[in-house]
This record gives sequence, C-alpha cells and structure tokens, in this order.
Amino acid sequence: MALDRSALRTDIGYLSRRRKPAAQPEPAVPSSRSAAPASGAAASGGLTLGAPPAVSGGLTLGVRPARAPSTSAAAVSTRGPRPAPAVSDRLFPAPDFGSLRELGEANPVVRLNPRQSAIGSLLVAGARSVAWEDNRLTTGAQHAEGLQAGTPVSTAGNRPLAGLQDGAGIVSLRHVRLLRRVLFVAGETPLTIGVFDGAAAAVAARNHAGLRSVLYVVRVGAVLELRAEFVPADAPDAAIWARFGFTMTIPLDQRVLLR
Amino acid sequence: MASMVAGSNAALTAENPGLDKVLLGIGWDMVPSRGPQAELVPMVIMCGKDGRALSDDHLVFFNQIVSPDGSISFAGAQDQEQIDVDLNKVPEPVAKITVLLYVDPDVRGPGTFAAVKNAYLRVATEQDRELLRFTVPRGNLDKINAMILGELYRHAGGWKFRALGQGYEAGLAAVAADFQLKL
Repeated sequence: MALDRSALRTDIGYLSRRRKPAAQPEPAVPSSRSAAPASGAAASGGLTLGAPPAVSGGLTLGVRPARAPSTSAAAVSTRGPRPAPAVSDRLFPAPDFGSLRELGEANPVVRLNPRQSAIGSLLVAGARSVAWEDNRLTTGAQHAEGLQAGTPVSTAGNRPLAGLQDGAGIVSLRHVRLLRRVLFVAGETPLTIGVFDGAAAAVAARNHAGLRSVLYVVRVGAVLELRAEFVPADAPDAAIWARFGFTMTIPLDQRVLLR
Repeated sequence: MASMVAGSNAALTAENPGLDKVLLGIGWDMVPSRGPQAELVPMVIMCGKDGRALSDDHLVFFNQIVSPDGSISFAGAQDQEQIDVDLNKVPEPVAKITVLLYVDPDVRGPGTFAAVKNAYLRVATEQDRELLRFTVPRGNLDKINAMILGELYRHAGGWKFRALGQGYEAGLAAVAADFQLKL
C-alpha cells in the first residue's frame, strides 16, 4: 500500500506531530543544491513569499545572498526533521518538579519535564475535589463525596482523563495531550503530588493566613506546570471552580449527537 | 521482505546499499475490553557503546517526539506508530538505537501484555518498502509489561538490525534501570 506521508494520524488523538512534507522523489545522491536555478535568481535559504527575489514586489522573508552551486557536504539538503526547540527556550524559568519539597506563596510553581508529564499517573492525595478541562474545553468536576458535575472525559484505555479514586486525584498522563488544565482543591490535609519517577512535592492545606490551598495544573505543550494558589477557606467548590474559569459543560447523550 | 526470529540479525546497510533513512513501523492488536485496558506505548532509546542511554533527552516517545539531534522522529502514518531514523544524522556516540514497547504504568490497573494478541516491528525504507519484519512470538506474556522489540546498531561502518522480543516483568522501572534513565 502506498504510504501517504502528507496525512496526519487523526485516529490517535494524543499525538501531536510534525506534518511530513509531501512525498517528493529523493535523488539517490543528495544534490538538491547542485542544480543551478534556471533563472539565475538568488538561491533563498529562507521562506520566500511572493514573486522571485529578483523581481519581488511582495514580502520576502529571510532571503540570503546568492550562493554558488556546490556539491560539498555542507550543501546537503536540509529537508527532514529539525531538532525540536528546547522547551526551556519557550517557557519562563521555573523550578523542576522534584527540586522543591513544598509549594507555597514563596515558591508557587514547578514544572514537570516531558517524561514526568507523560508516563503513568499524576497522583494528588489530599484533594477534596478535582475539576478538569480537556483540549476541546469539555469541563467536568468530581467531589470526594461522590458528587459529579459537568462532563467526564474518558480515554482510549477506558479510564477517566482526570478524577478522584480512593481519596486521591488522578490524571492519566498517557493522554496528557488531551488535557488542558486541572484544578485540585485541598481538603483538610496537605496535598501531596507524585509522578512515576518518584519526584514529589506537597502543598499545605492552608497558608499562614488561613486560606485554602488549591493546585492548578496546566499543560504547556509537552509539559505540565503546577501552581499553588489560595482561596477563601469557606468558599464552596463550585465557586472555586468558577473563580478559575471552569464552566461545567452539559453532557450530551451520544444518541443525540448522532441524529 | 524477510521475517526474523528473536535473536537473529540482519546487515541492514550492507545488504541495502545507499540506505540512509529507515522507517520503523510498530503495530499491535489488543483483546478488546470494556474495563481499564493495558495501553502500549512505543519508545526509542539512543544508547552509547556501554549500552546506556546517552541522556534522558535521548529518548523518543509520544511526548518527546524528536531526538535532540533530529535524527529520530515519531512521524505516524500507518501501523500504530512509525518512527523515522536518519542513519546519517545519528550522532557518532550513538552505538545502538533500541526500540521497545511498554505498558503505561497507570496506577489504576496498568495491565500487562496478556491482552496483546500480536505485536510486530518492521524495518522499511523511507518509501515504506519493507525490508525486515519481526513478529513477537506468541507465548505467555501475562507478566510482561515492557518489551524490547529490536535494535539498530552500528557494525563495521554500517548499521545492522537485531530482533529481540526481550520482556520485562518489572516494567518501565526495569527499563529505566537497565538504560540508566530517570523515568
């Protein structure tokens, strides 16, 4: 069967991959730069929009001076995957998860690496409720007493994307790409957070001013960020969810959607 | 196309002159379940001469889809997963590229390979012309929760492929210990 390299995998929702270039015949010997431009125009190393550079009246980005045709090793085609930009280049500095034992007002944020963010489960003990929002903005919540609101999000492994089980909040990290954000509200005991590699941190149930702790988890690309926040101790969970912008979506029966 | 058995190897570049990019296709079928189900995850580890991972970043899987040097990338088109390997761009310190499958260690009943009906790793050209195929032999996989399917390794200035099918009963933690990864 012919390989369709222009198509993205849409049957697996968790993937976020580069789009492959359209299939083009690849010469046996890399010599794409050795062919002189037919018009003699400058060979552009960057993205060019509009007419050819020599007569361009449009926007041209990254045009480099004309380069002599070469068959040297340096002129080997650069098509193909480029190294992914380091996550640290795109994010503001934050401590690594595992480097801080406790999150609080002085050190509210830690960041998981891509491996911590995607293997096993994010386990948060001591939570009295959890609210979640997936990448389609489907929002739901669950309380330790069993009450549920909004819409559950199920994964291909037949497990909830986020929820409470046996007194602990759990996020399925195998499907981290489905996740947008999660909010854990502390009960009367500290929130303790753990991941597969053994890294852990804790958040006191209340701060020095008596405010209740919540743990806000947001996915930024391939990594999760954890932030300790504080809310009035007597605020009901629904008010806390609303304060963080969680608006419960109404679950629709699949039979309705199929009509 | 040649079928391989566990432990066998093939001279990939020697038998295919000019081969500088390969496509690794990984696929499997699971016994359907209504309850929590084992979720297999492919992973590639770039190892040095000592057999250990060069670093934690020299690991490619669904949430870290390109190696630091860009030589290995998860692409995806057919199979369950497809991985592109640009053999010429693989850094010299990398002596071996190990391909494995692990069961995601979810705390809510992760499961094992028991539910895996079949699994394979195939090696193809960039144009998806299949060169080699290794199908995991059906046996008692009830306790297996990670498996090295095969490896590409340098040999006499070229690359060879070895089929393995080596299972782990201690899962990803054992893989991490073997390859000195922090997972």
